[in-house]
Amino acid sequence: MSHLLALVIEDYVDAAVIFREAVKRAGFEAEIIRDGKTALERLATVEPAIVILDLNMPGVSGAEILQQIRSDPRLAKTHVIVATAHPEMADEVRDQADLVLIKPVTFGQISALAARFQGLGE
Amino acid sequence: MGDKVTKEQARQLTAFLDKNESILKNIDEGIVIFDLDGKAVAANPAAACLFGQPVREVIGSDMGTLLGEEVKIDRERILNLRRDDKALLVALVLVCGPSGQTICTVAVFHDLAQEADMARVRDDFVSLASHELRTPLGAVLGYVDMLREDVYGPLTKQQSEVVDRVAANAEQLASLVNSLLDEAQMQAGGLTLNRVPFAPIKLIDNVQIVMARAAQYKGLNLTACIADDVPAMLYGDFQRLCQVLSNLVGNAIGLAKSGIVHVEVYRPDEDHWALEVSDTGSSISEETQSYAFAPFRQVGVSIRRGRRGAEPGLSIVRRLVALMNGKIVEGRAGHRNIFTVILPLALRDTDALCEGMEEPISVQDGTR
Repeated sequence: MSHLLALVIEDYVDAAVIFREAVKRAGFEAEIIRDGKTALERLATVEPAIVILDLNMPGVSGAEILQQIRSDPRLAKTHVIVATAHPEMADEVRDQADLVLIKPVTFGQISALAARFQGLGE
Repeated sequence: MGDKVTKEQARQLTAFLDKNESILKNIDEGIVIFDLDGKAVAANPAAACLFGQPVREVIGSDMGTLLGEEVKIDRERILNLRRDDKALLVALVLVCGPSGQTICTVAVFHDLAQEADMARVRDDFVSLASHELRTPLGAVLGYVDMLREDVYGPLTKQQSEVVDRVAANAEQLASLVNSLLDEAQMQAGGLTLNRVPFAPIKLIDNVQIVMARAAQYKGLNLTACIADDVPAMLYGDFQRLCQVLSNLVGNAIGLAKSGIVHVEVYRPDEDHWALEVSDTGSSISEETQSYAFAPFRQVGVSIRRGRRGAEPGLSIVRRLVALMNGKIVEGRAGHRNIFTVILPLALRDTDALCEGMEEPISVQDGTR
């Protein structure tokens, strides 16, 4: 059985690596995307089971990406975990995200949370 | 100022100016001294700076011109003044000479915008610095977690001990940075409640997710229980309640040497519900306990004293609980510390608007 896909959309490389390893630990196949524009392009071709999403990114913001995911029926089953350092930005996306985490977010948290979404999207 | 200015009054004014010249020059507030005819006879560099003209030009100006209006000075008074784009607070003081007669009026100009700017700069700095500190700290903690989780292969005993030391120090730093940011937010007036319906079980869920690892690394068990009479749905600021509970649990984990950190949700009476966090086998002193809820200014003291027990995160707990019209009850039973947060029970939107607690809650005896 092939693994479910998780996209880690995060411009800060260390956070991206930690999140990637965390979702891999939870059993997903993981892919890092480091800017908003590339994220939108990739989301047009894949259907990830979960997306770990940073909000503050150059170019296209995380909020815009979240909106795009929610308006695309093809991605109806995609779970979005937002990880942001900005509580005020977090409030703006709370309705649309499955989970909103305020950074610092640990490896353990992401892997435990991602594991919860394993198989839920089926 | 209808009185005729006597030679004696003029002489006393000159003496007054001579005596105070160096104070005048070096003070940060803008100061202009007017004689009894309302003409400026002295001004300091700070005043010249406020008015955007050299001291020698300020001297000789009318009080009416400088204040933008004719002001009758028969007593001390404070005026608000706008000049160009500056908001100034002006204190006018009558000065008497040795003979008891008025000899001059001293006007002290205080730039309000400058003060507001300073406060804003400080808040922005704290907020920016906190974010800039949090990001790399999060990375440090993340890599530490990965090493501990054998993502990069198993560690030797010694490597594992080193990783533990890195983690302990980084966690302490992270906790300080977090409370600094919380404090900055509160001082900027950004602390409001966002009340929503929520299931109390979700609070337990959240704290388990957030704190289970920290407990596990210290060899502690994190347990929880919800009493049957607690409603399945309550009304309140869920995110802030999560923060309150996590901080209390984080504190308990910090204090506990071994055993269990236990969370209990129950109803102390019909109109309230309570979040109680207790630990086993620790030794927090009474002094440390009151200290634990002090505002962050004292965090510095805590670092210098090397005290690790009192988590600064408790300061925000106290403020949040007050904002929610709740109370914190601290109890002890043997070596167990018990922190109980008691909140008004709200089932609907309107319930949250009811008065805060008027009657003191009966204090727990710590043996629950």
